[in-house]
Amino acid sequence: MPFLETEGLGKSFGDTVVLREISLAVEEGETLVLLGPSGSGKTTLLRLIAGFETADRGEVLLKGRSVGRLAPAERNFGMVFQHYALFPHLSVGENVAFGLESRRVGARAVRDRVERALAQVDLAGLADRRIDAISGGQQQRVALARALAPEPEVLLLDEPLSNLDPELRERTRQELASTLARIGITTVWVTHEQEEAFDVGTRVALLHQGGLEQVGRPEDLYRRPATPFAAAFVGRASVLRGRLAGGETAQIEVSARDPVLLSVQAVGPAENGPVDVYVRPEAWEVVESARIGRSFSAEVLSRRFAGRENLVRLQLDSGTEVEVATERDLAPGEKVAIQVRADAARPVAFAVLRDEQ
Amino acid sequence: MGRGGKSRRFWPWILAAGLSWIVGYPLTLTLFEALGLPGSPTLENLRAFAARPDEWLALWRSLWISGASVVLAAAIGVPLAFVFERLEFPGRSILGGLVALPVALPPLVGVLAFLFLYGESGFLTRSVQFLLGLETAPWRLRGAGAILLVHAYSMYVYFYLFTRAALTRLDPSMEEAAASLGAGKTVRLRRVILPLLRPALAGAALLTFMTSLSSFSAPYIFGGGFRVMTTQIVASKLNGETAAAQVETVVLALAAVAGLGALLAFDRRRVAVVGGVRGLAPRRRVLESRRSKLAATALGWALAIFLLLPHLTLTLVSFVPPHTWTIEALPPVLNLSNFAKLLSGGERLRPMANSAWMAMVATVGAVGLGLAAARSSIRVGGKLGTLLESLVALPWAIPGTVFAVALATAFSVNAPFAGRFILIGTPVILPLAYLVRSLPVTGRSAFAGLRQFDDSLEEAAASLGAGRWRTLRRVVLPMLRPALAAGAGLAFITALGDFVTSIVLYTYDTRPISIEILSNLRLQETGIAAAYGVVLMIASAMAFVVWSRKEATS
Repeated sequence: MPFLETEGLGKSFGDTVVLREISLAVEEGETLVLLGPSGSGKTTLLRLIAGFETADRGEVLLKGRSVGRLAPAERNFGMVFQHYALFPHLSVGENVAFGLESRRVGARAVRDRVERALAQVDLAGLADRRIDAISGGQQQRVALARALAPEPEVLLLDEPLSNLDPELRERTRQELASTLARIGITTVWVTHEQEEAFDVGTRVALLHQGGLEQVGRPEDLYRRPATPFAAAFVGRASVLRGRLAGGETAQIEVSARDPVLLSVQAVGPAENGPVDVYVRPEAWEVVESARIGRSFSAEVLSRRFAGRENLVRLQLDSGTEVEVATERDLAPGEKVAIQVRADAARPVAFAVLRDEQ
Repeated sequence: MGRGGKSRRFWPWILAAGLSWIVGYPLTLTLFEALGLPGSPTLENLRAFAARPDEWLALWRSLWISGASVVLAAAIGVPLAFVFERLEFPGRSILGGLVALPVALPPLVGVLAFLFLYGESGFLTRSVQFLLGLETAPWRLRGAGAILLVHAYSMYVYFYLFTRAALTRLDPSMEEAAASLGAGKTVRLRRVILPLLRPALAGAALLTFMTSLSSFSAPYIFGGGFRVMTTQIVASKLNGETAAAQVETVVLALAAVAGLGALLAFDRRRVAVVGGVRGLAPRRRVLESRRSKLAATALGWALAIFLLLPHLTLTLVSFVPPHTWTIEALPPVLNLSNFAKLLSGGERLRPMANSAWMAMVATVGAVGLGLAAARSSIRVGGKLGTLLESLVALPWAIPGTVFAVALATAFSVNAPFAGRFILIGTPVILPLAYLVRSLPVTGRSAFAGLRQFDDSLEEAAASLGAGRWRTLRRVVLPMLRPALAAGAGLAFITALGDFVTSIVLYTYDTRPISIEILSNLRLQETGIAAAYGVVLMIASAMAFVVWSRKEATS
């Protein structure tokens, strides 16, 4: 039995449907990331689980029992808010103790547990500080310590890193993920950043326009997108227009006579017809000589150095721009031939049926 | 939050009903009774009003006095604000604070101080008479001139404070931009600065107009035969002409609402202190030549002495034993006998105890109701939310005299099923009146505090297992404390020094300090009256300091 479940959870604000029939299961100890662009309903879903919003339809189940009728205060779910929502009139220690006082723990036990919670996030000794006297990164950790101190069943994180500087964000992400893993708490983590989702999520649930697009391990979402939106949203990709011809082969019109044939994975119905082909940057390789029916000739537009490799923007003869990851140092203006690697085990090109009216 | 039981859904309605009962209902009843409703509808009372020239005269005087007060207050307050905001000279910051002083003085105490200073046997009047060797007093502090003097003295502060606040927030780069485009000093003032100050000036004008329309103490003490609407109403009421008082009340209320509407329409933008860019503080021009420095300092201190003179005179008179100061320029005897009498117990202490407990009860009630209304209004929103907000704000636009008569009308009849009880003559009526009058102040501060309040703080408390009351007690109230304390301080000071509603509603047993001052004045006990005035002044100042310090620390 899953630890935490949502069953057909739906919510509208007035005439606007913000969530439609979301059914998800979170296993004990795992971190499920709710990923999606803004307006996808991910925060609403988190707030329904927390109890800050009431669902129009559906259920929230904890260990098989409905918690839908319980007030937020009765659910024993810890939450870290986007802007932390630390109480500015209380000290660091008093903030962490707040949730313990509600639980009728003795004064001494409260002190011990506050110390332990602060130590857990590496803030031992800061209990007497004022909230505005500590840094943004420390505030983030106080918010985590406060949520964890009452030992909640589930931890809910609403874009917990969005309020931090970019340099701090990646380090905090690692620390946060390892703290959660060490405690082994069941976590639901909302973010709109894909890299963050892939980094911290045991599994990722992709939301779009209030609906659930795909749930799976990060590599599943990247390599086997289940929907056109998943193919387009997850990972970087260039889009080529072509026709699907016979299951796993797409023809891309380069010139009237010689289409390039690509082996692709169909997302959604594999009907022959016009398709958009999504190609990941690492799927391209730069080849020495052009091969008819296999490679594209292209001109380098710009190059961006990204550490291990270069990300190069090229323009195909058809005018389409593509992004290619390569170790070669290509200079703008250079003419090259590029082609898509064929790799059945790790599909890197996806064909999505195009609606043509 | 979307969750909540039945009680939570009904609570805003109960609150709206309760507020309507104490705010809207008395006013409506007064209007109805003036029209002879519900029994036999008649326009007879209105006709009687329209037929009396003295009624029209009082209305006209109320309006022109208010208009003239706005002009005078602006003429003093705006230039002062520019001087203190734009020039740098020795003593600027201390004097800048002193200039706002008259606002903390209860109206009746201010009037009393003016009487002792500029009145026929006032300190300054006598000094001038003595110096010039005159037979009689060089002037008489009576009629329109006297009223306008008091209004100008106490109300320029609105213009001064609003204009200074607006000038502080004015983005200096706008003036620099105008200058770089070739605009000279006067063009900059006329085309850039004044238009940007317009919302602040309109706000101050509105406040001044409404305050002087409902002003009662100055016309009552100095008016003599010069009646304005507020004094006309109280005179009718005290003469037992209930019907006339009701019609006059309705007319004054309509005048107030019309004035409010006209001034709001004049400036379509919401009346508020200008909200420009939060830029750098404007640079002050430092006075450099020794002569101008000296002149500014001398003028500044002269101004300060002029502003403090009423307070000082009041204090001086409070030390003068009865019947010892007759024709001398300076009082020959000074001692504490007046204060000793005040503290001698019994009936002398009574007014102070009354004022203290009634103001306290009214303040606590007004803060609680204001907070509850603000919270419900923001929660439920929509029409009900607007209704709650309007009910709380309504007493602001209605002169105190009007409310006093309305409450006297509504609560002098025992009709429990119509929501009317006999409260007149009981100790309930005055605290209730003070509470209603304080609602706009406490309500506005609660609204302001709650609108800035981050909802996720409440959600954080809930997610940590805190219930509704614990969240309120531990998170919402502590965070709103500065806002609520400011509102409560102002409410308490107003209630403590209230004269305008008290004179209509008091009984001997519940008489507050202001009424006691008046009766001592009538008995020629000027020393005692001044001593009560000093007590009121000090208590107000203390309440002000305590609350503003509390505000600073939290």
